Amino acid sequence: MSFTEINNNYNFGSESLHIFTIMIFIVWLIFLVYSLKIYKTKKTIRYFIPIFIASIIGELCAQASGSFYYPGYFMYFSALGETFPVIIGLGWSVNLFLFLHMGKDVVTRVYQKQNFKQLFFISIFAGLFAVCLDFLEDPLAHHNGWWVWNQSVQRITIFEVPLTNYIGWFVIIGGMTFLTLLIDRSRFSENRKLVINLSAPFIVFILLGPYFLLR
Amino acid sequence: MAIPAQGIIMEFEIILFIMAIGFASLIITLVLCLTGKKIGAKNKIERQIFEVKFFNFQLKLVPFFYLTMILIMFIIGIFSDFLVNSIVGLIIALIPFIIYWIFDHKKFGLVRE
Repeated sequence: MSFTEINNNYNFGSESLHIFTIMIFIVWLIFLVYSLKIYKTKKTIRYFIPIFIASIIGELCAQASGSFYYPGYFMYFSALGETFPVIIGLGWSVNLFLFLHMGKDVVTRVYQKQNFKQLFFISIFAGLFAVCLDFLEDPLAHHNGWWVWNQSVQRITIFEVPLTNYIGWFVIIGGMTFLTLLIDRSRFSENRKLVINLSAPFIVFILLGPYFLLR
Repeated sequence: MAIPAQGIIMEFEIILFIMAIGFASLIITLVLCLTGKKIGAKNKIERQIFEVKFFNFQLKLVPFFYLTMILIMFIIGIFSDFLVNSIVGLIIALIPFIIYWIFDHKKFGLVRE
């Protein structure tokens, strides 16, 4: 059902896509090594793989609706009639790792109690921080053709990027931060946490069935 | 005419497959959550041992890379004739970093692990 495709005719539309792709890969690699060193293997898998799965699901749905497409990347996932660059999935892992830590750092200074409320605040902050980054990244990406928004569709835009995109960033990063920390703080064994965290993003698939039937 | 019909069948198969994965995941998650033995909460202190120091400024690795990323993107913006939006974007993207910096441990005089 899902395949990886190498784009033999890849041409980086601009030099900047090259820089962007390399930057994401290097930061992802550093965070991965850092996470392995600090959190060990199981927790690292929980921090990097579920968001990767969630991003694939989200991006494929967004592309299926004809909102945007990714031209000129080297390696793509191909599923459900859509393609999605692998590096974008890695980028989402970087985003989650970044904003989960920054959100946690900020909130724990202000609100020390380790309860549900703190979890909620961390998720909100992580989501908001992600939106702040997106205000720089998405308009730049659209301008340089890293991903192209379909301008023919009528919608509210900010810097030529649809408002729904910013909402999507908030929901994905906020939601995944909440899910990751919730499982993190549960008192299950590490193996059980790992399986729950890996299977949780797939639950969205139940909603995707009717979505693909109706499109 | 056989090919489109085959395509439709494939599409239904894929949708059913997707929904099956979803339901299986839901069942696995529920079973694991409901049957799991709860281990006593450990008061683990998470350490972020890696810090980056430049000049007289010390930063954790994660915010350092956030700052690096937004500066690289800002520079790309300048060199791709996207100056005004890049400046606005940079100002907005700096907000999380500034908030982090304001609430940094050392500002509160807390001892780091």
